[in-house]
Amino acid sequence: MRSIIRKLGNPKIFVFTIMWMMILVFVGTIAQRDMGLYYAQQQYFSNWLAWFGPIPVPGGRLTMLVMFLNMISLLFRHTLWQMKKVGIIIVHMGALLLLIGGGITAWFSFEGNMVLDEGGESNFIVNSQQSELAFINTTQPDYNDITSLPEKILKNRNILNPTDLPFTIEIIQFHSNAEAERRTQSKGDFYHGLAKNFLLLPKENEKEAEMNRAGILFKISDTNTDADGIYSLFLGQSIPQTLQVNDESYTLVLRRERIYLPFAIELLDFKRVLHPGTTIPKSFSSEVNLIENDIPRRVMIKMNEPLRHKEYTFFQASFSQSDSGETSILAVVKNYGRLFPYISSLIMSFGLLIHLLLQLPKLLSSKGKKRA
Amino acid sequence: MKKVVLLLSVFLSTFSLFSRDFDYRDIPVQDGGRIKPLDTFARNQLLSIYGKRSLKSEDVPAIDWLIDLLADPHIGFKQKVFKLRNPEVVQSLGLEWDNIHTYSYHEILDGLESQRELLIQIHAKPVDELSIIESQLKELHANFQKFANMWWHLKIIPPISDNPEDSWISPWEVESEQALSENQRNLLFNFLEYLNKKLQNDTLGMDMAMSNYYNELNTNYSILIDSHRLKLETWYNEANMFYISLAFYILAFLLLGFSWVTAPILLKKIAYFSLIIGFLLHGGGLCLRMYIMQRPPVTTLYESIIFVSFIANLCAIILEYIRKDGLGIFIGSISGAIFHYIGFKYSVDGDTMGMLVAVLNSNFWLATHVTTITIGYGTSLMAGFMGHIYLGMAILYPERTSSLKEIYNNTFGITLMALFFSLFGTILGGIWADQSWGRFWGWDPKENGAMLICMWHLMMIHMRLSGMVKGPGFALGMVLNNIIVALAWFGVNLLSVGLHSYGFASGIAINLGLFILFEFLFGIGAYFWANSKQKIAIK
Repeated sequence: MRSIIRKLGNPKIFVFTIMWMMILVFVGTIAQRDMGLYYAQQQYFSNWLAWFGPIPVPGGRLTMLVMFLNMISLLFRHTLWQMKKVGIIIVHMGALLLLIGGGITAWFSFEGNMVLDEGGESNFIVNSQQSELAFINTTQPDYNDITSLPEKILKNRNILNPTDLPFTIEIIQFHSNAEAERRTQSKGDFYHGLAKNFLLLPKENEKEAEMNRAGILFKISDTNTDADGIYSLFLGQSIPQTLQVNDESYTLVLRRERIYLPFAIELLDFKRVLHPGTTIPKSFSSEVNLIENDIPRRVMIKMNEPLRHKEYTFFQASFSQSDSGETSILAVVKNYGRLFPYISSLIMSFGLLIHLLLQLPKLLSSKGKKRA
Repeated sequence: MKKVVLLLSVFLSTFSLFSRDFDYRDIPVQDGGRIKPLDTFARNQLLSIYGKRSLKSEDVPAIDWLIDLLADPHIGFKQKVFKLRNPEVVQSLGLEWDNIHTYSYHEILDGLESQRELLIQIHAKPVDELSIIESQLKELHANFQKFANMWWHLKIIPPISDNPEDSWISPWEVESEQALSENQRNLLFNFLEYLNKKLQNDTLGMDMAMSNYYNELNTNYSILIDSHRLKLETWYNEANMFYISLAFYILAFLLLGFSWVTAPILLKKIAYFSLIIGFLLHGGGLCLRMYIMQRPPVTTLYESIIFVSFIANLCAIILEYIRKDGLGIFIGSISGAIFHYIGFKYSVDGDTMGMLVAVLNSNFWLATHVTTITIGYGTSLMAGFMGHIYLGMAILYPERTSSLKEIYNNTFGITLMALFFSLFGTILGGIWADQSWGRFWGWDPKENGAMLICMWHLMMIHMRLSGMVKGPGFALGMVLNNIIVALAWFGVNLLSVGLHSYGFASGIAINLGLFILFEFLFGIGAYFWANSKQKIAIK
């Protein structure tokens, strides 16, 4: 065991892993040009295995795991624990912490957007990379019951039977980016809505994942009514698909995945200030009400000045202007690991500084040879 | 120490020399989102039309060219100020391609008139589908419009309020005299009076108008306009401190060269002195820019070049102070000269003091992250230069093992410093990203570039630690490190520029490619050569 640890802690392993990491970063960065930032990140960095063409190679996660093990084992080396290496020890501790923080962020963080029209209010975040299939029960006039199926389980030929729905759903096709093509001949009564006249064709993913338009084809059965049959939905479809089963009515939508918050945000005013006499933006800001338990609190969200509430952070990310008014887009992040970089960078810089102060006088003097 | 004090006092006295009166060059204009002296405005206008900041053929400064143009358009329109560099453009305008290839307003007007249909077509096309000649025609057309409508671009009338965010207006935008407040009217009339007197060659009248103008400015607009800063900017334009600094760097290099031939210690001392003067001027220019714009030293690519060079030279001066053998002077003078040269190339893009987009508009992060990472670039390049020196020495004098060992140690020390600044700067950048976009790391090209530099340093340091490299290998690593720095610094911009990388940007791409090729070939070649020399030396 001890010899394994000793071998694992070899700095040569670090040299090779970091070499590999550099190649990954380089290739992944160049690849962003063609495949867009999101997909390049998925393929090269946030993956255990990356593919260089047909060849599987270690991905960013695996490489960083090796680096982590390498550093942990280093701490078990007796030769490290000397007074003159105190700076080095501190630096490596900080680096370990940074990798741990990265791991936590990779697993537990969540990113999305909140789209707010001026005067409007919202209590959910939209994940612009993932879709969900939502069944909205509109039977009751004063509230809706929503059952939503996340993209993860919308796999072809999956048979789903959610407890709160009185029917079975079989996914026939799901494409993260799709287009509709008119059928030459319209299908019979077993096909409903869009599926009657349109075919669902897969398309290559767009460079920016937000531009994808997902599409789904699925079969509903076990309702014992006419509602049984094949349905098709598109992201952002303008005519809603409805479904009547016994006395319950449902609206079916394929939409961006939503995460509901325990509070709401109302946009009072969005402001864009330009440098005078130019079109260069000087600042963006959203004046909002943070509404919790029906009590509003006024907050200003600006570029570089986010709103932090509970585990969520709201950033001024984007905006759009139309005839109906201004729309502010806030990026929302939930991340438990966000303090790690702050702490680890302090530790690492402190360690490096100590090491520099111990080493530099020796290294920079012209008499260094006598001591080295 | 005495020398330093002496130097500083000489340096500071040059600043105090400049307590001059307000004159026509300092007249405030709002342009590109900020208030600048008419001098800067004129320089940038002439730069975009003529390609230079003064009229070379008649030796007229930009400001006088502009004043003449405003005072008497008839003469101004006859001046040949449109510089066309592409013979195809000249041909398509039906003009004669001569040696100077500058053309007057009327010549260009006729040419553009004849190409009216083509121009309409060009304006309808998306920018990234334009061919080189089309985009040049479009640019010429825009410049021509600007030239012909100079009065419209001259936003010289301050707003009534004291709000710096309010737009100024140009004399053409004034609907009627009554629309102006009394203060605005006085300001404008004194300016017009000045032009009028200028036309009559009445020097006394010009002085009168200018002093009235200044009084008006001082009494009614002192909150909005800092006339001291305007004067300082005019002075900065005129002083060309980076040019003078370049001259001193070159002088230092030449003196050092002579000192090797004739070998007197005196010449080397003078060379060191010259390097320091160049460095102080360099720093003075940076400080002036910071004061004028009221922001940290690095906010644009241009400023990053100036600042990287400043840091590299600081390292060189310290190195020379410790070693006293001319190595610091050698590296400092060469790198200083090269960077100044690159900086001049960049400065022809337009106003080097532009305004910043919203996300960058944060002095705190600019001061911390951007400054640190740029220091990281500077020290990294310094380590790279040391790598060159090591390899060169190893080839020329393989028997001097002890001095090679010294340089090796120096290089390693600078690499540690570079790692400190690059790593700290990269992490600070992550923290900024966390503050403004909500994620510490997004694998964005610029972030990855910075990380590559850190990783390269880490790799080299661990290679040394585990005995995988010795002196020559480490030096090779640091030479190659220059490639990584160049890619992270400039290459990343090309990646996003992508499609419309014509004109200047394609120039960068070629230069960057040449630099990478050179460093690669030099590094590998010198490494093997040095190794073979070493083997012979051991035998």
